[in-house]
Amino acid sequence: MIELKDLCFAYEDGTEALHSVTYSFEKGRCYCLQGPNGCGKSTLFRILTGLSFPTSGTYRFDGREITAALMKDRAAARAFHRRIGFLFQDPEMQLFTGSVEDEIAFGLRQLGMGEEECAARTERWLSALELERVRKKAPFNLSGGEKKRCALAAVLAMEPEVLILDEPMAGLDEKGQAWITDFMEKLRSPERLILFATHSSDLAGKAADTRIFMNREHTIAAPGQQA
Amino acid sequence: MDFDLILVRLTGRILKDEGRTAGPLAAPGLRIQPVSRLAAAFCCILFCALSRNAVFTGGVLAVLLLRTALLPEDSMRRALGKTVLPVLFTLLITLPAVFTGSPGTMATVTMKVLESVLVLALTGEALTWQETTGALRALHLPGIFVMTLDMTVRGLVILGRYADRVTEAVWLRTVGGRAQSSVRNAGTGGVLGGTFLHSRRIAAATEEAMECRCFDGEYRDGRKTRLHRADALYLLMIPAMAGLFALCERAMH
Repeated sequence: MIELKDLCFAYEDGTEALHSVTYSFEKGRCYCLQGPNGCGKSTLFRILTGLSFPTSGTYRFDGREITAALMKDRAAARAFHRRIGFLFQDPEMQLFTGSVEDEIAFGLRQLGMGEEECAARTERWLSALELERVRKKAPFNLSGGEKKRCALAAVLAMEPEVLILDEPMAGLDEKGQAWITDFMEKLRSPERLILFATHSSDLAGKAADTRIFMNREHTIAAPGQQA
Repeated sequence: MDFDLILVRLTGRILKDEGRTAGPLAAPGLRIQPVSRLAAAFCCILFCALSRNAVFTGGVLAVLLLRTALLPEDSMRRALGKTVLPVLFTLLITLPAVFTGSPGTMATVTMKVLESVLVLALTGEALTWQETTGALRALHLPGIFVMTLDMTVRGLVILGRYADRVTEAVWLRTVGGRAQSSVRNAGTGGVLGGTFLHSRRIAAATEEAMECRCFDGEYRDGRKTRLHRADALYLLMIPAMAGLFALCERAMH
C-alpha cells in the first residue's frame, strides 16, 4: 500500500533527517517504528501524511507517487488526506475548534457529509473514546489524556485506511498508557494499515506485527541491528 | 514579584476566563438559544446607541441593573467589574462637556456606554465562548470567520499559558531579590520573543492539522439552529424595546 524507495530528506540548512529509506507497508498490518530521538521518525511520518516531501527518492501511495505538485491539487489532496489519519505527537497542536464535538465533526463536515450522518458518527466516536462527559468543553481546557483521546477521535471519525500515530503514549500516565495499548488492539482491522512510533517496548510488543528500527544514520536498520 | 510577572499572570487569568466552558446562567430547563440572546443583545445596544431620549436610556439601564441584581454574587461582581474601566474612561473623556455647559451629554454618553458594556457582560455570563461563536454562525456570519474567531481564542489561551510558564521560569531564575532592570528587560524580551516563536509554531501546526482533516481553504458547515418556544418569548423583548424606543422618540418631538 505504501512504498518508499531511496527516500531522503534534508532541512533547508542541509541537516539530513532521512537517508535512503526503502520499505513497503502492507494493508491489514500494524507496524511499530522505533529508534532514538532525532533519528527521523516524525519526519518520515510527515512525509507519509503529505505534510513534507522527500528531497530525493519516491513515496508511492497505492501506486501513485505523492509529490508537492500533486498536493497542490485540492481534489487530489482531499482524496489523499481522507485515506490517511495522523495523530500528532502533541495533540494540543492538532485541536483547534471550540468544542470536542466540533473537533470530531470538523473533518466529516469538510468531506461534505450530511449533518445526520455527521452527528451519528460524532456520537459513536465520543462514546468509543469515552469523551461524552466533556463533549461541550473546549479542547484546550482538557487534560493531557483527554486531549489525546479527542485528537484520536477526530482522526478516527474520518475512518481512514491508514492510521499513523506519532508517539501515542507521550505525556500519558500509566492508566492512559494502558488504555492506549488496549485501544490499539481494537483498532486493528484487515482493511487498515497502522503505523506508530513509540519508545514503549510494552506497546510495541503488544500491538505491532512488525517492529522497524531506525538508527542514528537516519535510515531503517537491517534486521537484527538496532539504533 | 515584579510588574512583568503580574501583567502576564493577569493576562493569563483574563484568557482563562475567556476559555470558560460553562456559564453560570446556563440553567437547564430554561435554556434559551444563544442566537436569541445574541440577537436581543445586539438590538438592545443598537436602540441605546440610537436613542436621544434619556427616559429610554434610563429605563433600559434600570432593567439591565435589575437583571444584574438577580445574578449570583460571583457573576454579578464579574459583570459589574467589566463596566468599571469603560465607564471611568468615558467620564474622563466627556468631562470637558461639563465645562462647556452640557453636563447632560456626559451623563447620556456614560449611561449608553454602561448599558452597552453591561449587555455584553451579561451575555458573556450567560453564554460560553463556543455558544457565542455558534450563535454567530446561526446569524449567517461566514463559517470561516466564526472558525477563525474560535481559533483565535484557542491561540490566545495557549499562548497565555505559555507566557505564564516562561515568565514563572524567568522569575524563578532571578533569585535573590529584585533583579536589575537590564536582567528583567532581557527576561521580558525573551518571554515576548519565545511567545512569538511559539505562536508561529502553533499557526503552522494548526494549518497542517486542518489540512490532514481535508480542509482545503473552503470551510463547509451544514449546521442549522432551531428556535423553541422559550426563544419566541425571549425575542418578544425586541419588539417591546422597539415600541418603547419609538414612543420615547415621538415624545421628544
